[in-house]
Amino acid sequence: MKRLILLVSMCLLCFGVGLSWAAEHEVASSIGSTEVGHEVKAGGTHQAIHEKAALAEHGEAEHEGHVDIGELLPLWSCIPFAGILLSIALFPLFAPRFWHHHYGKVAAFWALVLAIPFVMTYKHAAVHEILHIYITDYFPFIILLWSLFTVAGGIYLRGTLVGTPLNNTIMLGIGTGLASWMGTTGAAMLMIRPFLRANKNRKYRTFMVCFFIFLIANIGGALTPLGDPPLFLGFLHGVPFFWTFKILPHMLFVIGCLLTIYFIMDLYYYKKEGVQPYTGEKEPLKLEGWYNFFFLAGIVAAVLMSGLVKWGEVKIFGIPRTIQDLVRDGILILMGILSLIVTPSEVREGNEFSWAPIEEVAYLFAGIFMTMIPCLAILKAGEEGAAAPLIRAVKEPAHYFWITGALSSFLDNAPTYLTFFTSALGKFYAGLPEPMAVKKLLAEHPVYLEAISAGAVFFGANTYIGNAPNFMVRSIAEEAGTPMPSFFGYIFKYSLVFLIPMFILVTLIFYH
Amino acid sequence: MAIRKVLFATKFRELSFDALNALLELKEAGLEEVILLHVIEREKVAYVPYGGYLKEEEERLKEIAKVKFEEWQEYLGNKGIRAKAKVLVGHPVPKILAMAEEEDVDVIVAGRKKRRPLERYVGSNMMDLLQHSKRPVLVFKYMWCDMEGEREFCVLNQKFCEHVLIATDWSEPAERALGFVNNLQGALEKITLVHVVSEDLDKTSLENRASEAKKRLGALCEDFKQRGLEADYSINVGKPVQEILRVVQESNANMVLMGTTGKGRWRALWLGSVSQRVAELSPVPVLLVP
Repeated sequence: MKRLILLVSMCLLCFGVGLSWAAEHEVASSIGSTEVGHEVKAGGTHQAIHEKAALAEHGEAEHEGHVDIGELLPLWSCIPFAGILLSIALFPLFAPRFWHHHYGKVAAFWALVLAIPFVMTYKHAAVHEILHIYITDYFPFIILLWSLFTVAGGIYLRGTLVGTPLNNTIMLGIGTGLASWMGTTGAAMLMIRPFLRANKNRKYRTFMVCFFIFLIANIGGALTPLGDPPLFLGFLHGVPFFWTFKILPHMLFVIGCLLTIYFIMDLYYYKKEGVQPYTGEKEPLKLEGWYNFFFLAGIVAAVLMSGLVKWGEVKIFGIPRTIQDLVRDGILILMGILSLIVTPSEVREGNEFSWAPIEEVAYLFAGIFMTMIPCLAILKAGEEGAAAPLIRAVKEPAHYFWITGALSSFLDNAPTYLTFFTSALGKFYAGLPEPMAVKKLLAEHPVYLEAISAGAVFFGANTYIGNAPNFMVRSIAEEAGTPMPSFFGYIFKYSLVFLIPMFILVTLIFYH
Repeated sequence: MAIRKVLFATKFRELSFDALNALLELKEAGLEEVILLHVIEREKVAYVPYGGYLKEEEERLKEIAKVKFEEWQEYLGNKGIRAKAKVLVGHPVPKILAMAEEEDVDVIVAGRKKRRPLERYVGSNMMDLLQHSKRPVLVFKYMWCDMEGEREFCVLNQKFCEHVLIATDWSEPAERALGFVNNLQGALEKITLVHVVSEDLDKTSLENRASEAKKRLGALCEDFKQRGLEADYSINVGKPVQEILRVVQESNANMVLMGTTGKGRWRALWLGSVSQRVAELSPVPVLLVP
């Protein structure tokens, strides 16, 4: 009953906010310009205005729409975004059964709370923004996740693995290495069951799974856009494929430290448990569905290709998309389908493969992408937008590292990354079209994007809700009988103890 | 040979208990033990988005299944049948197959919810089970519903062993199905044998095939009659699935018994599998022997 009252109150509050917003802007639009996308900006530097005028002549005027809306939108238009992210953070904690059955409706609710007044107020400009984010961000994002998830789910490591400290450390190292190339989700799904099988006779397994989440489900994915969803969003917004190699030193430092700590801990517990050497019959190790690595290579090649070639543009519902991006998405879907066709069902059954996790991500992110439109627009407007105080307050790379990271810990790291990536663009290049602003940011202030990228990927390990594979790993481990800490137990016993000191060191070494 | 042990997999849909009750007919064929299995689909308790695993929910669902099974076990016990209950979490098909191997059952019985005209296909779980099982699978359709003009009618298949239709194309799987008849001895009273000749053959080939089929089916009928069973046969020309289903209706058979080649999912989709199509569309239970 309490949940129902809470839900109804939230609905009323949000619809109230939505209606007042719609009413306010109806008045504003009746007084001022009727076409929001073509209003003259009050702020902005002369240089930016000149550059935009020059670009408009080259047919890039449609990018102006983003900036205009961002300058007009109030900060509270981000309430649906906060609402959906808080729902993701709080419902699994306080109403897990309700959430498990109704998360799709919750996501749809927040999406509609944003979409209805947004479209009523800004009409064509709003429809354009919505189509833009789905066509250029959401669908490529989901297609990549789906293809990596499908292909990785077709690889199964069969055989006897013995969970000694050395073997475990090697397994964690291999999984961490794979994560950047098959996605943190793919690598986590590939490795978690063999890892749990290898350690089923061990008494202390909880710390092992926590380090698995740190390394394979998060930090290992920092190297390429395939590794972690935030980096792929960066790639979609113009960050070159290999640019993220810039955070290799940060990544190696953290991985090296964590693996060393893990090995010492595992050795300590191994001796404490007095584990007897394995004497049972050993089934030789066999990688079933190994040919899926070829499909994985196809995915890498397709993503790389889309960043290297330029084959022109087509418009889908008025939204420009490059042909190479469409070809990439087609190849990704093809790789997934081929994997489904050629991989025997026994291999996926061995992996206990399920579509549920990817379906959940698809539903939730459909809502997230819708609700994040105002936030991105406001942040892109830089100091001309409603988030000017935040833009001014976040100055140094270390600030970006920690604020992106702190929010990535509790909100999903992909939208958080995009939010602060956009914020950095707004800070330095407010008013510039995105492609130009991204190029300038990478050339003139790369350390800011390094900090945002590292913050989004690394800090995703801080909580169960920081990154999608975290909850999948937790779920599989608990099902297999490994006791896992509670939400806060994980933070206080593991993240604060092992990760936060590591991130302080990263700050001191790389961003000081 | 007899059917001594069956695995009864259930989702506790309506009429599940009635289906189980109808299975008692197999007692006359030697049934001694029923393994009751309920698989809680993993998605119901695992992968809570950004959460984890609903341990309490798993325990609650297990308890519900346990309570239901206790009642069923008591009922079967009163009928002189031993019953063991298992509740597992996972994907239903692999769990059913693994349990069938572990318990070394003679037949897997999977209930089928009542069929509506628009439900043209058997659920994918059933299809997977038919494709992967190395043991006979009885697709049990306790209730069959169809449309007659604008009126919907439903039929209860309370008896399924008395009159069995066996479709044969003289292949190895069909021979296995014929051999399986021995396992039904005791419960079985009548057999109708069906052979379908392709309509694409020329006149001479068609006559030859029909003549050969008549001879072979006649011999089989004699053999069954000597074993004390009533037997007849039907030779039809046309498409196998349609003809078999037509004979099922005309002969009032209670069950279809067929061999299956166990074509893979893609092959079955591409080439079609007569046995799986019959299992989908038949108004009576279908027992497929791999």
